[in-house]
Amino acid sequence: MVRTLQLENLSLSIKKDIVLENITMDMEPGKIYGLIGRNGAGKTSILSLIASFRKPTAGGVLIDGRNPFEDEALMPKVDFLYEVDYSAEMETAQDMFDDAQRYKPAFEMEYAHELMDGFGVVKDKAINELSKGQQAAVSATIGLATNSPITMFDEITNGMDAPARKYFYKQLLAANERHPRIFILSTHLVSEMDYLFDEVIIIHKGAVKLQEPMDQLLERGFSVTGTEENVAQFTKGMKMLGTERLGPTRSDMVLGRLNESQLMELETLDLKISPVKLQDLFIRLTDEDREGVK
Amino acid sequence: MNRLGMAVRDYTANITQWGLWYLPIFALVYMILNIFISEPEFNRMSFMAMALPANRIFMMIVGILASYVFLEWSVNLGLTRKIFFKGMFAAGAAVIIILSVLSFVISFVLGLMPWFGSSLSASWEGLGTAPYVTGHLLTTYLYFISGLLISAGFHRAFLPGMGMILLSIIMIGTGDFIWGLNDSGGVVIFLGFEGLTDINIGILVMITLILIGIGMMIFRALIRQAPINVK
Repeated sequence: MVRTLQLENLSLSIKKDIVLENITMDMEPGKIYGLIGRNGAGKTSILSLIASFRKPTAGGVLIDGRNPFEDEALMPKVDFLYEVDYSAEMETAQDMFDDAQRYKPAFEMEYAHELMDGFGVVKDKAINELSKGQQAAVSATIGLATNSPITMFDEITNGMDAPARKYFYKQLLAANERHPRIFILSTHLVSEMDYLFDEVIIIHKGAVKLQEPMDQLLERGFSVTGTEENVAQFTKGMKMLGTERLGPTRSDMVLGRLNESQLMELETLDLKISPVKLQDLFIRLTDEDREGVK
Repeated sequence: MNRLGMAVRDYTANITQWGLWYLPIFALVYMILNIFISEPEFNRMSFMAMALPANRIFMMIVGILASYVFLEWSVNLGLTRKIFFKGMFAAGAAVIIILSVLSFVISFVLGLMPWFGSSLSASWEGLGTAPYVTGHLLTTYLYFISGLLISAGFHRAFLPGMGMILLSIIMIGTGDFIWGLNDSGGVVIFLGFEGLTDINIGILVMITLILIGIGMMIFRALIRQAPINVK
């Protein structure tokens, strides 16, 4: 069992490039963390450091207060699943499960078989003969069935079709119920996966832009929809995240919370209000041409 | 079984599987060559005499592949680089012994047939079986370590990789020279050395072990913090 995962002032430089700078965050079991960021933001690098795939240039990763890098007891507690080129791999999924069972004490073979049946993937076929989506399902199965206290999926659903992705999301939530652990999901499919996240971490240019519980994050802003004039009148002077138009209808995404008088004004102007979407927030926060949210 | 033991078993099993492809193919080549080449010296040579030098090249390739294949696999399963290091050295030794035994068995079986030879390499005749086997086992291990060094060097960057190639040539050349292993060709024949096989075999073993030790230390330093690249 792992109680805490902390990243303290974590920095990583590769040759002359600063990949990560002063990353600090805390994570605890039972939560699913969404790690989102644009391409090259440093998501995979963070996961690589947690998995001891790399050593940080400065700062550290601490699992229950201890550095896991080259720690024989801690390294098996972390599982890092990512897109792998299996084109030359002739092992079967079953061979990979056997490996996982030998080295990861909490691996459940029966559960792995159940998951493979659920994904509709055969386990006795060479993995290089499986489709990309089926290979992703094998990785997802290993991640779920190892029951490692820290399980990280990096773009693991790439290649999976919609039913397989849906099945994975369902099983992920179920797995966190059965064996509460720290799940970190790095993804570009923000709108599809946002309901899974308990907390969201947005990485931008190698730094943490924000780490907040999902519900709090979505309270940071709202969308107002109505006629062009009424919406423009209502949002005048507010901090805008963006505007969308469809015919005569306008929708403004705004940062901040509404007070009583503004809520009454909404009714007067016949405007509809809805929570801001994580994907929209993410796009605005990481959009270079706009002022972000501090 | 502890994690190191499991790693040694898995590395050994995997590499031996590669060897089980290579040895029969090599035996087939040996038999075909014996049928078609009519050279008395060549026809007198046993399979063992041909296989042992070839095993050294095979182990060098295994060493080169090992860092690429097993390092990521190991760290992914939660094994430390230290376990990988120890496991690789133990597995290398185990595979060399397994390959040598298999080569001997094949050689013995073929030697019973009238079409194939049973003599050792010309440069080794008269030395006796013990130095022959010792020399080959130790120098094969040196080739394996050279392979590990080259791949670990290139894993870091191009220049360290090139440096390790140079170091490997020196290590292998020294090993071949002191044991007088002219049968592998290359550096030793080019320089025209005859080797130091007339000196005490214990000294030869010690020098080779020192070379192996140096190679191990450099390999450990290279992989101590080796990154695993994702994507």
